[in-house]
Amino acid sequence: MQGESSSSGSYTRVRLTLVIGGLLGCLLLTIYTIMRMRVGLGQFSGEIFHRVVTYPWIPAAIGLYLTGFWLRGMRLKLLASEEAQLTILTATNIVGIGHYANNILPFRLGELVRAAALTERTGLPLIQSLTIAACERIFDGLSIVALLLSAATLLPLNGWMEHTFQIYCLFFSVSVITLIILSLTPQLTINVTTTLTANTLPGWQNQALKIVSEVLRGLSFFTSPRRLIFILLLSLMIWGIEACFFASILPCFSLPLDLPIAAATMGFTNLGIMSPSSPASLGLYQSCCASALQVLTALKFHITAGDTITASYALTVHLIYFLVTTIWGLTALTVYVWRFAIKARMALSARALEGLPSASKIENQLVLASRIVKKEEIVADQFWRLLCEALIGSESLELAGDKKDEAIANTSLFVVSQLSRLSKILRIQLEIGLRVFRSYAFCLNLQPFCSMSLAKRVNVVEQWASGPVPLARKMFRPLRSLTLLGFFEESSVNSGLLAKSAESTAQGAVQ
Amino acid sequence: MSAEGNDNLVKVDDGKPFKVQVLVIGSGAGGATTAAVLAEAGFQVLVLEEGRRHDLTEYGARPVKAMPLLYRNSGMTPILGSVPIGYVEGRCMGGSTEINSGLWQRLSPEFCLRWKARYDLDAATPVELEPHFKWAEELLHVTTRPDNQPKSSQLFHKGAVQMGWSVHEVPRAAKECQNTNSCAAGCPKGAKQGMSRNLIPLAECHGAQFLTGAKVKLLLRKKGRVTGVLAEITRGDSTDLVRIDADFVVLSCGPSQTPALLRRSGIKLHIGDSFQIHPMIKVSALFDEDVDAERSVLPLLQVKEFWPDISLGGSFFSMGHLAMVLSDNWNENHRVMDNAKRMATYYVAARGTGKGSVRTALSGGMEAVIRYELSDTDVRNLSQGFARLGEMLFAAGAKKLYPSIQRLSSIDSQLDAVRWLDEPLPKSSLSLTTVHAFASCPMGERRERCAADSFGKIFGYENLFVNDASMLPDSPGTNPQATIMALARRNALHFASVHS
Repeated sequence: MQGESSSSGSYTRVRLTLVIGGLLGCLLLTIYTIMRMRVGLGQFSGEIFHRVVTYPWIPAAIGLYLTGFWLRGMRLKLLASEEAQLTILTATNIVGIGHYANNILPFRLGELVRAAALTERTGLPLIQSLTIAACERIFDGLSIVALLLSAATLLPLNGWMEHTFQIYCLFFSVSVITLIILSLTPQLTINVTTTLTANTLPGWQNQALKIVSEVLRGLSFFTSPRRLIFILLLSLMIWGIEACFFASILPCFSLPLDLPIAAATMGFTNLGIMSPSSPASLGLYQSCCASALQVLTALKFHITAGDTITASYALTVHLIYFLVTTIWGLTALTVYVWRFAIKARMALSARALEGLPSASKIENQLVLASRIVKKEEIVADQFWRLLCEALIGSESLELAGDKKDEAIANTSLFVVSQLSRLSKILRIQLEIGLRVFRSYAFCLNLQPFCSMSLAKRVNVVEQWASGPVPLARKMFRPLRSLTLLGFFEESSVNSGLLAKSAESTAQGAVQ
Repeated sequence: MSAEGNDNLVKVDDGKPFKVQVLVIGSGAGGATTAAVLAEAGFQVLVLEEGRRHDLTEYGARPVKAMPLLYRNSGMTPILGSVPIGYVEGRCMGGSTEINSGLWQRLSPEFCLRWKARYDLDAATPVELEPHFKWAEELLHVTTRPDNQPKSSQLFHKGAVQMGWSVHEVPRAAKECQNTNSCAAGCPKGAKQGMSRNLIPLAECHGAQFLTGAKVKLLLRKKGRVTGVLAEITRGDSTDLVRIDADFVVLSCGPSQTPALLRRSGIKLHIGDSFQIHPMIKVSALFDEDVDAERSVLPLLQVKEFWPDISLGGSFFSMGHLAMVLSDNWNENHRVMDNAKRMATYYVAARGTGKGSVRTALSGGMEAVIRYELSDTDVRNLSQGFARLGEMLFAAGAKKLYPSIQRLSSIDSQLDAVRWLDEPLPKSSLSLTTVHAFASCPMGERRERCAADSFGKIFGYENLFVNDASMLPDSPGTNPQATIMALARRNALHFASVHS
């Protein structure tokens, strides 16, 4: 038993070391890639700096890229939605981690990291996550091909461009058709797998069936035509925005702002880097982008953009892509590692009991760590008393002065203590809301809320709580509910009200 | 171990890590049932409960005193969404069974079929569940009320009869109820058969041990097994972080905390993705005769004419709760409080069809973030239910209705009420509450939508089980306690047969 405990501790320790080591490794690789990029920038850095810094559309380009990034998150959420419920933020973080990993690892290993991140966040089997990642790439390819097709109607293409386009068109069309067939005939796929693996070892057949069924689960979004259409539309939007991003950099280098050229450059660049290559596709990205741009401008405008210009353009586009994805991915990864480390630290404190100092062993020798819990003293300040009084209203109940004061003091204490039990994030939101309310009250009456007469306070509370702003109404609704609950459960108020109610019944008055 | 000085001492041999055979987390309807059944079957059972054990003298306090004592976060656990929903659950020995009304409704055969069809839930036909319901009903002395109904129930009955709708009294686990109207604050007479009155003592008789003030922070995992838990045990002013190893871990922490704990521990597949509730609108009705709702038990009748989508029934009444119903239009309605003796509160509940989730806080803290988005169907059902409840209450003699709907201060006639049959209530004006939550870790054989198999074993883990409201595959459309207990017993017996 003790052995089990310590082996569990060492297991956690190994995982924690691996995760933190992995993050440090990532940081080192990031620095290394940036150094390599700096070398790559070399002779072009002056040109880029001169053009980019003086050009105001660079923030717009970054904004466009971020929009596309958010849409990628939305698409991933939809692709996984059959089995896992992701928020768009989490999905975008997963996309970010995948892009970031591609930036620092060779051979597009980021796709594996993205699948692993999806598995870690949702609990989906890894094969299923890999299938989803593969589908993303296929939809990307299909959308790029579609955009290239549109651009080709407006642009002349040269020989290698046409061949590249045709090959990818064929590849992605066949891939999509295969996926559709697989997803629509799951039983047939399983039967074929069973037959094909019938003569292998029994364990192998089970493994093959497991893999096939997980792949089929990953393709389950194909069975909903509505979702499929939405995913296709999203993919088109993602790459349409990417084309706009490419276009927004063109004027920096005195090139004509031409969307078809930008779309085609973007298309050939991204088709080029789909094949495994160096980290961040260094070299390949620039080469594809610069040569596509050079050929397209020459074919359309009959001008030859200089090597320096096209190379600088390619480097600028790549730099923006690299920086945005790296910052996003690294931030998301750091947050996740941090959260994992907190849990692992807690789990590690469950070390073998015999190793604990004897002083901490009390009663049953279970205690691993102790801390003194500070009891928070709940105090309702003047603002809360006055706010509660205003929320109750002046006409609610006639009680003798001191009884009413006591009831309101108790009520405000109850309200404050209840609100202190809200989650941290809700407490922060409430605090911000109350500050805005106090400013609003000040602007309306030119005096602080706490200096106002009851009538004025009731008035300002009503304007806020029943006003046109839904968020303001939403904020005061629970405050008023709590206040009224606390007030009318006060014994003096309660008994006063019962007496009044009996009196009202006696009079036979029905309101 | 003495936590808060009230529990059995868990004895541990010196120098050995502490390990139990079955560790049950939570002592509500699911946890207490599991503990009782497994302890009787001879397993060594330890139950960890986050709240405290209370005796009858602490029960029956006014809501403002009872909330910090018996409710999770003192009752401040809102469900977030475009329409925030007030939600309460118990956090004490016995869980939510200590603060509910003890209403008892069996799972309808239709839902057994539905769950089989949609989730491939095995061994849960009405015939298979019958002995489990019967067992629980005998133990909890479930019965209808022998004596005359409270006035609020009589009026409700009159209205339903006038409308020609089927209405029935809901049986309760409240033997010899004495009308203290304290269900929500724990029954001070011990009439209501919360788990602390019944199954917990039974489990203790069979040797199960209960440890209170123990908040489980993390499940410790290793290669498809859970090896134990890390728990924080609070005693007086100090908190100790302890590790408890177990051969088997059963989670019964309730529909919000079970998925939160699982997700916090890195177990996420289909966990907390399908949280469901019964959203509820409350309506206070003013009659021209004394109802004295504050001095009697809540109305015990339900209209099931529109079930499973819509249920109409009676709600807990106190001055504070009446004020809460009126609070949405307080400016217009505060004078109504003067007529409190002639008022009673009722509800319309819809079987939720919206999308809910339970997540852990972004900060990595211990809080569960619960979300629920009302669907259009929910709004339509609530609107139609509200219209029908209005029609019925006016038929029963109500003079005016005060709904918990902002900017709809009162309803004056049946004609006013009936318009909501065809018009949806404005979503942003609704003040909703719920006390029924479930389905955050659905069980069944359909792995693509279930978190656990048909007997609550979490997929991918050989010794981790879920056995509480979160295991229900979907919203049952009724008070869930009976269903939870029957399924929990069935799962526990299955566990015992496999592992003994």
